Amino acid sequence: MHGEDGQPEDRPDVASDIGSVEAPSRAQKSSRRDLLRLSALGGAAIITIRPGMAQAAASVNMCTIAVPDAARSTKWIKSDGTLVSKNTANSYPGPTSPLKAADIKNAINYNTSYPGYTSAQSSAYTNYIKKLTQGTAGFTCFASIQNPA
Amino acid sequence: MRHLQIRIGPAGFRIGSAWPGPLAAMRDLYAGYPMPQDDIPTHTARIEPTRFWRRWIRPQVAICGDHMLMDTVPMALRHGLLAAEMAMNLQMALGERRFLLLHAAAVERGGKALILTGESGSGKSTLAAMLGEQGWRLLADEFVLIDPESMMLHPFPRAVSLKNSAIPEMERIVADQSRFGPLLRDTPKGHLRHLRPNADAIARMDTLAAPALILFPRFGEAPQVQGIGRAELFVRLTQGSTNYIPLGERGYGAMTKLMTLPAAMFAYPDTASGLDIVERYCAEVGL
Amino acid sequence: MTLLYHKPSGVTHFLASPLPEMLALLREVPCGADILAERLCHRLAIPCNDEAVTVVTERLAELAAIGLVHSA
Repeated sequence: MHGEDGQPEDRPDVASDIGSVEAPSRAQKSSRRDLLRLSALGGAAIITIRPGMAQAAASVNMCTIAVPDAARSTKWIKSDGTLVSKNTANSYPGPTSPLKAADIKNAINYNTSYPGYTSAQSSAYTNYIKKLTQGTAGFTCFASIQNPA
Repeated sequence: MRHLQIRIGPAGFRIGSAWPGPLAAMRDLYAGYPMPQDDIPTHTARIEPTRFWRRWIRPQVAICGDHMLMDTVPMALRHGLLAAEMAMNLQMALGERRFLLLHAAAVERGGKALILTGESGSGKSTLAAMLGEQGWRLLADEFVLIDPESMMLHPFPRAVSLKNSAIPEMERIVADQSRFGPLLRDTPKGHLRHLRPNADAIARMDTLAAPALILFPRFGEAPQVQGIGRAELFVRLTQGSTNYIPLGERGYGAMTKLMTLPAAMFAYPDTASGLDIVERYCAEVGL
Repeated sequence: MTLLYHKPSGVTHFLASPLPEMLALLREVPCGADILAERLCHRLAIPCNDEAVTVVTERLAELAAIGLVHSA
């Protein structure tokens, strides 16, 4: 599944699909067949580990993430989550108030939209969040959403 | 609020309760367990009324402590012991950072550990409890603790949660009735009864074991054994780890090492066949 | 499948070939999709054609979507 942003599939239950795969640390000699297989099947080339926590599904989290962070609040968010100048094509202003942890978790796991925003806007916001790294405002909240801490 | 303190492996618990009943049941269930190291608990758990009047009027039990969950369904007071156990689980799941946690049971023989992991209902608790009565040492039921640096398994011998048909099975085998908690009917997980690990498991809770084999049992089907690819193993193990992500690189390092252990999945129709398959796998890896 | 722990985000990914090779090439010398496709095919000792360029362009976009690469 490749959306216009080339979003990778999140499929933590892929057990049977990758059951036959080789050990990761072994150096593989890739072949033309591998490249073709990927392009022909359009299959997931990236599987992101997102451990489920069925027991703690209702997050302990009350945290929020401002999109974008306060330091760059005048920027708009492109559909792939990068920040661009106002009015750039295919970009949107950020949400008027910070997004809630519970909504973000649902958007990441189920592709739901944020209340009051279209799916295109929501997708852009979620892509921004997925790119957060340590040091950027909102990262701690994002990390705790993936596994309540 | 009354309190009880017990040490289970490397975790020292301080358990508070607004009602005396559940705490007394806890005290009986964990008879013989040591106190927290230096009297300092590492985890605090509490069961308390959802609103102050719910202490007396159709009592409703909420679980809390250092870490909490919002919007959980309250429990009835007659299931207070279960609530206290769940409160301990919650504190471990959300707060433990010294060890990588796996949602698994484990038993030890000859210094090496067999890890039984999988979803709820897979039968791992029952198999572990059975093995614990057949010469193996029970190390853990709900959580397996792995030290990310040494990769050794630190025993965490909590009371085993027996559900539904497992209850009469274990009642037939365990002679010492005092090791059983009260029968809890109609809990969210069906009928439930707790079983305290035997004296050896309690006495040797600080004796570590080296993980040697990982098995994924699946109860309720015709006997079947199946290998498991490394990538699938990694995904399944992380699925069952409640603190993989917060541990960051330590967790990643530990999981990549765990992934190199022998591992397999098997389906089984009843406990006897399950135990048989387990012993055959163990023989294969020298356990 | 190669396992990758991305330190800045703390997220673990499995990457199927040729993504790990692409990342390795970009770490050596950053470049755009077209040049990357050429370098990748050279490294894998396979002929470079339009199909390869398409695959590399798509996969590069996926890597960017989850923050493993950034466009300059």
